[in-house]
Amino acid sequence: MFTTEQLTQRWEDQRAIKNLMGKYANCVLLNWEGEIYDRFWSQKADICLGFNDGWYQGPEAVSSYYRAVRDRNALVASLLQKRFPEVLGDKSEEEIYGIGPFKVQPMACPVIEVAADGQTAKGLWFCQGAYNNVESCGPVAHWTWGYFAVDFVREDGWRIWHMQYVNDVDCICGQSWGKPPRPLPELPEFAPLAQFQLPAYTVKAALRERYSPSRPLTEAPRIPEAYDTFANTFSYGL
Amino acid sequence: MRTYTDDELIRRVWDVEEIKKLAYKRVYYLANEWRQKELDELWVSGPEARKTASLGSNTGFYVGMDSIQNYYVAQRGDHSVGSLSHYPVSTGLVELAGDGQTAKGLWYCIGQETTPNGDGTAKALWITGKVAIDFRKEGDSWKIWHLVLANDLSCEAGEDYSQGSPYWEPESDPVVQEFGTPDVAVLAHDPNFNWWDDYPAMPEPYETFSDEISYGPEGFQLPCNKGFSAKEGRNYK
Amino acid sequence: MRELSLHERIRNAAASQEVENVKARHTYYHGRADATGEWDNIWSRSEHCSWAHAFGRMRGFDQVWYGSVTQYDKMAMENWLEMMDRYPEVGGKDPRPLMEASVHTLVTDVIEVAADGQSARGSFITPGVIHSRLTPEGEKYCNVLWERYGSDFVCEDGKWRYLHEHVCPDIPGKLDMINWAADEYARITDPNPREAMQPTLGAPPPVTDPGPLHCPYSVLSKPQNTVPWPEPYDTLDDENTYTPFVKK
Repeated sequence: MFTTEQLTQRWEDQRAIKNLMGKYANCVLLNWEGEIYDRFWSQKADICLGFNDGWYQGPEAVSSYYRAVRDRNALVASLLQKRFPEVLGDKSEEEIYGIGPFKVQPMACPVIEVAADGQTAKGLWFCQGAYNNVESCGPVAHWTWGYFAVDFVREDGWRIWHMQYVNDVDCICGQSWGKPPRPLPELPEFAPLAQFQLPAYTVKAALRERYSPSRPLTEAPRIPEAYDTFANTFSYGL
Repeated sequence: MRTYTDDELIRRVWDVEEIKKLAYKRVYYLANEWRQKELDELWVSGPEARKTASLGSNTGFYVGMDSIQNYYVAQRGDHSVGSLSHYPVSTGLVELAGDGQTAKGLWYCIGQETTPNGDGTAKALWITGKVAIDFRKEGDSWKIWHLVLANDLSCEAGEDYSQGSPYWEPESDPVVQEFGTPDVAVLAHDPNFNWWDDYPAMPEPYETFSDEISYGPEGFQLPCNKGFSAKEGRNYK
Repeated sequence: MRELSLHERIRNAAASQEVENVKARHTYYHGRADATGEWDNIWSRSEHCSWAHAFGRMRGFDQVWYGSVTQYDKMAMENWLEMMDRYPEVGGKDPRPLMEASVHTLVTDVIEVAADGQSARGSFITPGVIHSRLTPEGEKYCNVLWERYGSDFVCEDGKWRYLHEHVCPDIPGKLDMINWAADEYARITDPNPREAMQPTLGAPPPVTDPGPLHCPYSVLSKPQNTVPWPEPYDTLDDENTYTPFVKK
């Protein structure tokens, strides 16, 4: 049984972890991907970031992912500047950075377990999101239904150690995720976006097959369970 | 109002956290189609509480764990391929009884239920509504005792919700049809009038549990004025 | 932020949960359009209280009450009167919830309680739905409205209450009948663009700080950081607030 002080510390840890993920979501919304790695990620060598189709493993791969998203944001802004010179034409690269994409990743239903030794923690969130990345067809909004599953480690405060962001559904708003998608037509002013590639995954792996009417029932990422030390629980990492 | 020592207060804070965690775990159990596991692990297990446990929706309540199991699990059907259920809850409002033995919570759910049509497509529904739960402490654990899913609307994804009759028609509402014939048949939430009926209501601070404040059928009361059902008073021309 | 005693830390943990409840009560009152219930029960009466939206900021309890309760009730009553011929069954019912269920769910909370325990601050993302069945036009509707909130709370006589609310609408639209990004692009590239959808119901109320204080998503704007998440802090002041205080 935990002492009064331990219970208080554990509550503060849980609140800090919720706050951390809230700030992460805000950074994504504000297109501050360039700051995410330094702000939130652990210094450990075995960090990893997973999406439906693969993993970025290690500090260089994880940080390069966020740098690439930042670079893509900059490309979107420059294409919009070319398309709307009367509104954006006289603005600097810095002034236009962030224009275009809008990505909301709301964090709901947190199940958080802080290890009894207080050195690590695990959390699972449901994320019913909405985003517009701006694509080669131009701005297009999507609904997403998915999960954040995260291991945290205590360093100078709590830091992200392993993270999975996996979706069941990624569907164009205004369409049904139960029916074949109807892509929007390509627009020449956004054609360069078709050439833009995020870095290749370090490990290509099917973390989660997206929903289709023929997909077998696929369970959510494992729910965190109370644990004493990380060696005695499962990992959300590779 | 009670006052608490520091130790009592932080333990009450943790009780509320555990209660919220229980409501959130249920969301993942539902997504996994772990319905039997949910009843076994997250719901009350004491003999008396099992008898008074209830699961309610707009059209009434199943009462007792056996009856709940029959509706919730046995009649659920096969969802092994092509199904997708997400019922995330948010906006939690939890009141822990002064005596620390029960708690009441209210959440809102913007969810979806997708079922295969058998032709390579699926019917995807947005489903929204309140989720109200009474919790009961069994030993050191919190358990679900009474649960109400008060549905506001269901709407097919990619379709125009505004088309068709504005009236809520239980006869054709997929959520009502799925709920079947409950043990206590009562129009608990009539979404024709939005939240006018205030059901289920927000929990208020309380000292100890009583039937009057229950989210079970014993706590349901018709709104104080007449004409609860949209069918009453509708037909004058 | 100064170091706290164990007693203060526990007090602040309980306070953090209390403000989550106050915030949730706002959602459930607002879902019934019960502005009277909301401002009666969970708001400070302080001259410093404020409520802000895209259109500007109301300051002081009386102005907030006029804009958020009096004017809001007026819209509900007008809506009720307009509905009566088409839907006689609405007679005898409280007109307010019949207007619509405006449900702003709360997720992604970042909450900090002041070291002095007298205030708390929170930012939230609110993916919401706004729906109604019986309307004067005879057509039901469900809109989505995704917003962000910046909220300050104060502890008065042991009870936590709202002091400041700043609502930032980001994504308005008709559920699944629009694509809020593609449609916005089509709108602004149209040689004769129609007006953008308004994120609030009715005409704006009188305000002290005129807007726009926040604008919904636009292809041509950066996402605005109108309600930055709160940082740990000692006391509610102009460095730590969603509404700067007016000096007298």
